[in-house]
Parts: sequence; C-alpha cells; structure tokens
Amino acid sequence: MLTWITFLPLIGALLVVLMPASSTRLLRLVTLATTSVVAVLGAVLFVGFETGTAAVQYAVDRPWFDLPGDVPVRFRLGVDGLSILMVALTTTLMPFVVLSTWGHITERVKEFMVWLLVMQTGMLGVFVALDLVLFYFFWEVSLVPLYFMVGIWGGERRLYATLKFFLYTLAGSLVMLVGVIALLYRFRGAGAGADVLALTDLAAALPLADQLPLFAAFALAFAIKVPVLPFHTWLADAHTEAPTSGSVILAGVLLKMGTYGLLRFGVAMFPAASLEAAPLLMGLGAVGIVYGAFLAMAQNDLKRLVACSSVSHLGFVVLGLFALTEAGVAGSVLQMVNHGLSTGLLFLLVGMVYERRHTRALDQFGGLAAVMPVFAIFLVVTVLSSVGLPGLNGFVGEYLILLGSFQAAPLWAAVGVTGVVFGAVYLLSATRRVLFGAVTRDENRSLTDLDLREVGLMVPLVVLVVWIGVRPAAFLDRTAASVEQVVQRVEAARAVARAPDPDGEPLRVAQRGER
Amino acid sequence: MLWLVPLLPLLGAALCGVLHLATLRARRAAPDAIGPSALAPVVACTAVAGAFVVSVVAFFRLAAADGADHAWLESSTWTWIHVGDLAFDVSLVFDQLSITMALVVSGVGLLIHVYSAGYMRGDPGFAKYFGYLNLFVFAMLMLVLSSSLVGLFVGWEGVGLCSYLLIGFWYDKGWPAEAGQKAFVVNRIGDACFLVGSFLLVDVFGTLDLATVAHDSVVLASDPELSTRLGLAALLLFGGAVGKSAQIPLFVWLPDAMAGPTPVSALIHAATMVTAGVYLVVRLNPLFAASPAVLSLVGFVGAATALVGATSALFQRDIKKVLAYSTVSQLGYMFVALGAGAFASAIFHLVTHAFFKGLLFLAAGSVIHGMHHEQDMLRMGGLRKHMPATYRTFLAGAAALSGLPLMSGYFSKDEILAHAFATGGAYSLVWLVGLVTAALTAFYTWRMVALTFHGEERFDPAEVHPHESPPVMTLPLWILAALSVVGGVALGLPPVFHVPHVLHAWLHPVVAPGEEMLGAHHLSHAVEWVLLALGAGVALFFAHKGFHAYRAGPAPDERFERARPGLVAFLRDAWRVDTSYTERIVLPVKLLAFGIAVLIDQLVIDGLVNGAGRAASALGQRMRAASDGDIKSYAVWIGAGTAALALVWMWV
Repeated sequence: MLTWITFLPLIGALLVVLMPASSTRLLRLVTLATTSVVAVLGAVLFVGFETGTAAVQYAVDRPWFDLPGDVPVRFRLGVDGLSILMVALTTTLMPFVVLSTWGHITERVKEFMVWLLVMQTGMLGVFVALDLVLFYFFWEVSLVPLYFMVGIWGGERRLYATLKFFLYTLAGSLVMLVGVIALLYRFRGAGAGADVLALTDLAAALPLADQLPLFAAFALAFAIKVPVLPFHTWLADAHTEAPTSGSVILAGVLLKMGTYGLLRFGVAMFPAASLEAAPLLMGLGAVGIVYGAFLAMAQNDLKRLVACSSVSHLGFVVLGLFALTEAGVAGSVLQMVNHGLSTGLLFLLVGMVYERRHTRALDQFGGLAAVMPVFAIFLVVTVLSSVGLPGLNGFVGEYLILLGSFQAAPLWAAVGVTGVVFGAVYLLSATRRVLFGAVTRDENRSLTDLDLREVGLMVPLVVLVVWIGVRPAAFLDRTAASVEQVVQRVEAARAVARAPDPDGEPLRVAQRGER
Repeated sequence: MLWLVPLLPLLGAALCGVLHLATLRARRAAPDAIGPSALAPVVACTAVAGAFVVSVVAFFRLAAADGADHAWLESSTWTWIHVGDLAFDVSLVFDQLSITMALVVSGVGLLIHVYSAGYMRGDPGFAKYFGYLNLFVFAMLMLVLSSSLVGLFVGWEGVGLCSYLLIGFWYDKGWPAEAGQKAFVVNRIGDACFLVGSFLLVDVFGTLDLATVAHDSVVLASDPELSTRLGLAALLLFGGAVGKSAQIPLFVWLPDAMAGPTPVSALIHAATMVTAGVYLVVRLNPLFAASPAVLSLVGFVGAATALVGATSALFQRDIKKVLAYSTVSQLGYMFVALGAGAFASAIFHLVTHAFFKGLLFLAAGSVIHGMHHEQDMLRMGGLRKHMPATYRTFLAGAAALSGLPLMSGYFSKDEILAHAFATGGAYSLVWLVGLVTAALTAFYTWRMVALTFHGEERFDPAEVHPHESPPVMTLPLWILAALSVVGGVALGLPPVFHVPHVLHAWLHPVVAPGEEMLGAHHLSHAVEWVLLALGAGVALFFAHKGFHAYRAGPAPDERFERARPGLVAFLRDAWRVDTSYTERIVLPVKLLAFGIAVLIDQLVIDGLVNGAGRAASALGQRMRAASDGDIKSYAVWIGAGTAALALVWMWV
C-alpha cells in the first residue's frame, strides 16, 4: 500500500513524459487523476490507521543494498503517529494544487506536471521512509523539482530566488549527510543497519555529549528547511517568485519536512540533546513568532506577507515541539497540518487575485469585497483560520502549543502569546486593504468573481479547516500514542540528567541546581 | 434539547448565509434584486425566538427544582480536545446565572432582531446582516452556557468575530472596516491575557471546567503557596474582561464600534457582548474572592472607567457617541460592584442596563432612521412632535439610565453605590467617584434628550423630513421601555422595603461561595435610606440641570468651549487616550516593523547569507586563479603542504 502511494505519482510522471506536450488538457487530467487516486489511497490509509499504538503500520521491508563497511540498507517504509498526518496532508493537498495550475501554468505544461508528480513521490518518500539512507535519498529528490518549478515558471527574480533556496537547503542537507554517515558508522556493528527505529533506540541511549554533535548536524538541516529564525531569508524570496502551485507545495508540505525531521530525527532520536537545546529552540520559535509577524506587517506584496506569516506560524510549531510536553508536541503536529491547509489556501487565494489583476501590491487593491463577494468570503474564512479563531483548525493547534510551552517555559509561552495579537494585526490589515473600503481603482471594478473550478478546489480544504476545528480528535488520536512515546523518551533522558552520578558526585548536581 | 438554544441561531446563520449567496446570484441578472434575502428576517427571528422559548422552558424547569440549592441542567457533552491527561470538553450548563444571561441574550436579542427587520430594510446586505446577527447570538449563548473555560472562549472569540463583522458591515465606507479591525485587535490583547490565565488554571486545577475551578478555588484559597498563582490567574482573566468589556486601558475600541448599524450597537455593544467580562468574573467569583487585591483592582479600574466614560460623554455631538461613552461608564459601574464583592448586584445592573441601554440605542436608531442617517444632535431638535413613540420610549430609557427614582436603573445603580459605601476604607473613594458619575450621567442623559427632542428644529425642513418609524421598530421600543421602567421594582428592591430581592435570591447558589469568602458588609436601614435619598436627589437635580440648560439648544456647549476650550477638547477626545495610543504605540510598532524588515532582516541577516554565498564564490575565483597552470607555483604549494603535514605529524 505505502509503496503504491509513494510511487504512483512517479508512474504518473512517466505516463506524462510519454504523452505529447501539445495536449495540455489531457496532461492536466492525467496528473489530476493520478494525484486523486493517491489522495483516495491516502484517505484509506488515514481511516485504516490504528489509533492507540505507537507501532509502525503498513510496514514494507525489502533488502536493497549494502554500504561499504557492512551497513545494510533496506527498502523500509511505514507510517506511525508522527508521519500519518503528514502523509495524509500531502496526498490531500496535491489534487488541489494540480487544479490550481489550470489558471497560471500555461507554458511548458508537460514539464510542470512531471515535476509536480516527481515532487509528490519525493515528499511522500520523506514521510514514509524508515531507512535512514532511503530518507536522505527522498530528502534530496524532493529538492530538485521545486528548483525547476521556481526557476522556470517563477517571477522576475526567479533565478536569484531559486538558486538561493537550492544552495541554502543543500548546504543544510550536506551537514545532515555528515550526520547520517556518522550515525551509520557509529552503530555499524550493532545490527541496526540503517533502520531508523533501531537507530533511534540506540542513539537515544547515547550520553549527552555524544548526542549533541549528531543532533546539531540533523537539526541544522531541518532548521533551514522549516525555516527557523535566523535561517528564514530564503523563504520569502522563494515564495515571492514561485508560481502559486509551487508556493502551495512549499508552504503546505515542503516546510513540514523540516518540522517533521526535527521531531523524528531530532527530538525522538536525540532526546537528551533536545532537552539541552530546548531553551534555545523554544526561544527561536517564540521570537520567530513575533519576528515573522513584524516582517509581515511591513510588507506591501501580499504574497510576501503570507510568506512572512509562515515564519511566524512555524515559530509556533518549533515552540511547541521543543516544549517537549505532550500538549506542545501534539499541538505542533496538528499545527503542521493546520498551517498546510490555511497557508495553502492563502496562497491559492493570492494566486487567484493575481491571475486577475497581475499585481499583488496591497495598495493596488481595496473594495474587492464588493466586486468579488465569493472571493471575499473565502479570504475572510481563511484569515480567521490563520489567526486561530476557535471553532476553526488553527485554534486547536495554537492553544495546545501555547499550553504545552507554558508548562515547560512560561516566559517563552508569554512571548508566543503576543503572536495572537500581532497575527490579527497583519492579517486583518491585509484583509481590509484588499477587500474593504471603496473601490478606488478602475482596474478593480471589472474583476470577475471566482469560477466553479476555483470554488470547487477550495471548498474541500475549508471543510477540513472546520472539521479539524470542531472535531480534532480524529487527528489528535492518531498521533497521541507516538507523541506520548517521544515525550516519555525525553522524560527518561531528563531523569538521567537529573539523577546524581552513580560514582557519587552529587556536588555537580547541586551546583547546577544553584545556578 | 438544551443544545437547541445555541444551535438554532447557528442554523439560522447558516440559512441566512445561503439566502445571501442566492441573493448574490439573483443580482447577477438584476443588480438591484432583493431576491430571497427578504426571507432572512423571518428565518433569523424564528431561530432566536426558538432559542428564547427553549430557554424559558429550561428556566421553568430550573425554577421548579429550586428547592435543591445546587440545581442545574446539563446538556450532552461535545468531546473536543483530548491530549494526554488533559481533556477539554464542553457541555451546556443551565444554572441560575447562565439562564439569566441566556434569557437576556435571546430575549433582548429577539427584540433587536425584529427591530432590525425594519431598520435594515433595503440594505444590499440584508440577508448577510441577519446571518451575522444570528451567528452572534449563537456565540453569545455559547459564551454564557459553556461548562468550560475553553467553551466560553469559543463564544468569547466568536462574539468578537461577529462584532468585527458587524462593525465593519458597511465596509465600502472604509472607516467602519478600520473600526472593526481595531475592535478585534484591541480585544485580542485582552484575549492573550485570557489565554495565559487559562494556562495557569490548567496548571493549578488540571482542568478548565468552570464548576470545578469555582469549587476548588474555595478549597485552595487557604493554600498560601497557591495564592500568587491564583491571584495571577484572576488578574490575567480580568485582563480578558477589560478588553471585552471596554474598561481602562482597553476601552478605546467601543466608541469607534459605533460605526456599525445601530441595532448592532444596541445588541452587541450595549446589551450583551460587552457585559461578557462581568459575567466571567461572576462565574468565577470564588477565584476572584480568593484574591482580594485583584478584586479591589477590578473595582478601582471600574470606578476610573465610569468616571472617564461619563466625562467623555458630556460634550459629544454624535448621539451614538454619547451612548457609547455612557456604556463604557455603566460597565464601569458593574465592575465597581464586582470589586465590592457584590456579584449579584453586578448582574442586576447588567440586566437593567441591557433593557434601558438597548432601548436608548434602538430609539436613537429610530431617530437616525427618521432623520435620514443624521447622528449629529446639533442638527436635530424638536423631534418629539415628529416621532412621538420614539420620544416617549426614549424618555423611559433616559429616566432609567439617569437613575430617576423607581426606574430600573435607580435600584440597580443605588445598590452598587450602597455596596461600595458599605465596603468602606479606600473603597469610599470608589463610592464617591460613583456618586459623581451618577450626577454626570443624569446631566449628559438629559442634555441628550433636550438636544434631540426639544427646542427648535435645527435641520433644514426642505431636505429632511423626520418621520416616525414603522411599528416593527416601535414595538420593540415599547417592550423595552416597559422593562426599563418596571425592571427594577420587579427584580430587586432594596432591603429597606422588607421584601425579598428576587434576583439575589435567584442567583444566590452561584454567588454565595464568593460572597461567603469575602464576608458581608451590612448597612443600617437609616444609612440605606439616606443613600437612596441621596441617589434620587443627585439624579433629579442633575437631570433637571442638564435638561433645562440645553432645552433651548446647544448654546451652553459653546459657552463652555469659549471658557475652557482645552478641557472641552480633552473630554471630547476621551481624555486623549486613543490619540496617545496612536502616537505612542501604533506608530512605533509600525516603524519597528519596517525597521526589522529593512535593517535587521534584509541588511543584517540576509546580508550575512548572501555574503556567505559571495564569499564562497570569491574563494572559488581565487582557487581558479591559483590553478593557473604554472608548474612552478604548484611545486611551491606541494612543498608547503608536505612541510605542513610533516609538522603536524611531528607534533601529534
């Protein structure tokens, strides 16, 4: 099942490659059909996913090849509570991404569809791979399509943006590669091979001093991908230049690879190091919330504003992850989905208005609510989801994150809470400047409202936004057991760190307590 | 069945939304089509009437069970957020307090819905308006009925959302949209405090179930280790109340909120939503009683707000602005009551205020409607001839607001002042401020009556033809007028009359824990009589002054302005609070945002990133220059490298 879900898009890509480039309509339909089938399979996977256990489900395990030095690499796939929501998010979003390309990808359609499908295999692979080498392989694979999507179909400064994005994340990936190799060879004889779960158990038992460098190597790559402050500057450029569909994928799924990585290959694998790094990362998360919000306040380009809002919202995710409490981590996992939906919707909406008006400058708009009432409804609902209105998805995640981080570090939670205010400031200001007031520009008077395709591609996402807001249990329950397991690992590491040395050095502990 | 109370209005909101979309569709063919939106008031009124009827049924069931002291009705549970050991579930609880609120919300709400059918007729967003209004009633009912603080917060933010949408209802004008945004953001400042307060409660009590928190507060109040955290939690929740109930320092959004349609001001910004903060404190009265310092702060903030609001109302020209500042001021009274530990008295004033202020706003709306959207009292005058029903009902509301003897506001306000007086100590100052505010209230209220309805007509009769509003609007006015007049006598007479105080007896099970923790203050009957007489005297004297000074027109304002131009401007600008926020907070934050975006983000952080990129490529250029094919230089490098390696080897 997982193999099919992961590689079906690749098969679709091959199909598209073999088709004539001129039959645009057919190319789109084949891509849409492929992603839709994957989405259905993803839904089946999600529904069939057993709650109450942290065990890996839908596991696939086949021999693959051996690395020199007798490290067997196997083709291992599986989902657990940490990845199930990410897989479901990816499979769900993709058909809507494909549908959204109708409006803005009119040149070199065939290539774009190929890249979209390759991208999906790469992203799904990242989330389902349970072999470290396989994971790294997918991680790098998923980097390439976006490079071309931005570089070919992007805006004016697309080459600058795409090169920056590519080199920046690649630099992080290379550091992670060093970490991967170090980890594999450290446990060469232990029989774990490249099995992520076995390596997790082994690595988690390492003493703090040994965990720290490995954690740092992984965490840096993920922090760039998320992006965590101060590694965020590639994001706004990439988003600003990317085509709408690229932005939706980037915000919706690609950034989640970073936060997912931080959880599986950071917190779960190196709990002692995570505990040590938690104050720093919570701080970066909390400051990132406020910092991103201030960045967003200063933007005039609507798309850049949404990109900056991502920095702020992902700050919440990082804050919650490194709160290392159940509420915080569970909230973060849910918030990854929420951000994918809300920000995905925001980028779709920005794209729709851009396709009509060919500008995204806020001062070019005003009064669109009168001209495009249906667009206005969708924008307002999405913005409300994004500012965390109770009853919609964002609130559940944010509340749990802030509660969880309050339990761990009340001051950082208090800093994060201000994001609730600043988020309302920039999102409502932008909404007002686009939708409200009198229509002052003649170009805006003749804009057409959303058509059926555009409404149709957003309605299911809005339904999800409401569903998660009212009944988050279906999502929280699926992650609960795995989250609990991770938090227990951290608690075990905390107990080790606190316990007096067996050799009788209580003095050291006392000193630490005094400080 | 109990879920019907909030869910019927929610269903109504959804139906109105469908009607709105259908109307938009119809308008594509004919731009001025009314389409199916004409059905919206029927749907919306039916939904709220349904909620009211179910509330009444629940009330009688509860009243029948009142023999048992802690009787309540509870609905099935909405299983919401579960993580680890924490469960945030929401059910609806109908106890004496929440049902009182539910009756006010759905009852007054129904009257305002009916009134709106006349007031908003012909508006292009007719169906949308009723959808928002129904959504508001849903959220407000969730707020008052939820068993849990998170459920309360759903309503809390929900009413904030509806307030935002309805203030900015006429969004094409621009400034209403800005006012709506301001209301939302300022409320969010309070909400941020509220959230942190809720985290503290989870920390201390392990739950956000309101009954548990209230009950355990009584037990834990004696634990000295917890007192700081309990106090902090109470303080933070009060921060939320300050935002929602427009108290100092967050009251600045309420006057601007008058940009919305007038029935909205009546429902949301006078009768119901803005009293949510009062409800919150009463609901958690043991938590606040456990922290007397915080409770006194509540009272002092209330007193200061009452005074600032009343003085700001003195010289307003816009009739809705007078009522807005008056609302700020009256909400201050309710907080004064809370500060004195008179929780039931706060609810008493909340209820009577819902009657008379809702009435005054609706009557003012009737005036505005009849004057073709004129709100400036200086361009009114003499309207009593043109709108007799509006005039008479407005008089009833004015009498109640100014606390003329035997009116509803007279009893509820004097009860608060009596409690403030009885508390004594530093609270005597609060009492004095309350008394001064009462005098100011009587003055500005009757100034408003005189300027609007008496004197000569200061509008151009060729252009404006004032007319009485249709019965669909005046009927709600008459009902509210009746309630404003008899509401006090019916609900609660002072102890000196030796009859049971109906509302106090009813609310006793809810407020008793907090009141017992604080201990009661008693006044002798003689002192009470004196206070009652004093209240009546002050109200009558200043009402008379205000009415007669302005009966001939706005000349006294001009005299004041000539005599003390600075003071009048200061008061008209509400003590310049809003202006100074704009200068000292809003603008610096904007500057800071641009500073961060340009200086820190683009120059420093992105500069470093791009610098690193450039350095790498520059290094590459150097390396290329080094590999220039010159064998001799290669030999030198090889030699140097070997030597360096050798050195390292020797050392290590």
